[in-house]
Amino acid sequence: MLSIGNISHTYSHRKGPAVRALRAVSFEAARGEVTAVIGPNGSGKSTLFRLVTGALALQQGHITLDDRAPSGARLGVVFQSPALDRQLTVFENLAHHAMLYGRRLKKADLPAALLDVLDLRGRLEARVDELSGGFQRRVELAKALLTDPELLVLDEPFTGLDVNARDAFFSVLQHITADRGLATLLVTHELSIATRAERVVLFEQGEVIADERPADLLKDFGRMVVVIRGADLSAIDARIRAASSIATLRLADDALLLKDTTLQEVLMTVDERDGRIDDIEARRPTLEDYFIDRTGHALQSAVEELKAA
Amino acid sequence: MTAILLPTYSLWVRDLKHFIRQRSRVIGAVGQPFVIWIFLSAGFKNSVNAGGADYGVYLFPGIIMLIALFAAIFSTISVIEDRKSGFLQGVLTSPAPRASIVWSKMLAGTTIALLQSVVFMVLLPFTGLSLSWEGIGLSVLILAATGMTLTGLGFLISWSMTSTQGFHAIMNLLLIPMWLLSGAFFPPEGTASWLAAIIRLNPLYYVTTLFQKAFFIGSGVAVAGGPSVGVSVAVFGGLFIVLFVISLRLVRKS
Repeated sequence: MLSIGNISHTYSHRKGPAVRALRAVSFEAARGEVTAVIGPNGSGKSTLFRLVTGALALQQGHITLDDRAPSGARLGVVFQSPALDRQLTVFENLAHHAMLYGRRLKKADLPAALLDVLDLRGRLEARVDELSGGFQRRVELAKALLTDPELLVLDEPFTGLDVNARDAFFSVLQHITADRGLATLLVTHELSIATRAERVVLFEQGEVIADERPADLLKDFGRMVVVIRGADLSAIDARIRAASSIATLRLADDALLLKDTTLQEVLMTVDERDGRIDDIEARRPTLEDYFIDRTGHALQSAVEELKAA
Repeated sequence: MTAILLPTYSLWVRDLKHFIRQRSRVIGAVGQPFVIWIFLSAGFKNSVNAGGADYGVYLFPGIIMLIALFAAIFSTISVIEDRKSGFLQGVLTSPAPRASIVWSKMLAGTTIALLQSVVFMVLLPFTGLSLSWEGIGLSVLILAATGMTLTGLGFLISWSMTSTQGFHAIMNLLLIPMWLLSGAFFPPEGTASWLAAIIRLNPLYYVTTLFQKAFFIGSGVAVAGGPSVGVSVAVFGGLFIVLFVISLRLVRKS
């Protein structure tokens, strides 16, 4: 069990005020499970990643794995930016990495099961820069797992991957985590992936605002939600509240979410031919819905703004 | 002690693989000093007083020093590249001692410098010189010491830099004058007093003179003047220790 207890961290600057990045953060990540850490930019995710990997010194609190510090060979790390040597082959990358951990590695020593699950067995002699982004990520994961860590920490490992590669990578990650009994901490802004994790820890302004299984986080939203898009949704919102017991949530100026309902139920109250309505859709609730419900603002929009910049 | 050996070996071999796999780098490393030696020795043959020796012969060890200087220092560009490519973050979070980063870069820079210098030595028959084994052995030792020290200088500068272009600009600004005023190109004796004073402030002067003296042992070419062996070893050895300690502190702080 990874235990993070009462961590606070403040960045001091010579010029300008100090910035408090984390405030009394506590949560646990069980072995055999992927724990996703999500939150908007500046919420403290990266600071947490740097503290867990030892890149930053702890100022307050503790980080332990089964009551011991998770450093050295007990820790496997996958960084957001690639940490591979693109001029070397896959095997050379693995062998050089193993030596940093004090192990000499021959091809015969490579764990066959790991190579198979990552589909790298036939690619050991390929130069890393000849591999696709998805396979480069798999090599990163193989590197991190090569030293038999007990804690695996990944920072935005899906950067640059398409949807299929992302899904495949996460499936492999989840399989390895369960198979090896790892405590896996996944820092990500990919909410669709985080929804598939066993546990989600939600950060906002340096604090943990939720720490639950995704299904428990979303239980108030029911199995399905309905989203109405249009220009003037206040009147429609008021009519739904007056005429039914459906709970509503404003996702944005032009989007109204109706919790735990069906399209048929909504259409009994709302006329889809109403000129103010552009679109009505039924879908499963998402972590973005939950985040807006809790904080009053969107999580993904902060990420999109950053990408646009 | 054993904990540092394998990581150091790993990072050292990795840098050598990079060097060997970049054919253009190998060709440039050997070709450039060859061209410089041919043109300078022909151009200054009758203009420079080389203490009675043929100028091409006098310049030969100086060119080897140039090779070692540039090879050692520019090998540390890999520090900036490793940081930019993200490779360094993996090393920093591993249990490898931080000192292994400094040692491996120093060893890689020195190995590359020695390899290039030895390749250049194939031109030795064209000078008409015959060297003694004692001279060759001492020369290799001094080149290794030069490689370690200058890689230390390059490491110190590259560790805190983010741009390879900036590193090139700064190193060229520093290296060319350092080499020109090292005694490799012309001896300080007979130059203006202010120039001779600058040469004596240049740490490279001490190792270059030492190298020339070792190189010409038993060849019949005498290197007159210059600092004593003891002073040269003290100045250059001191510089190595200072650069190594500062580099180690820098790496441990990050």
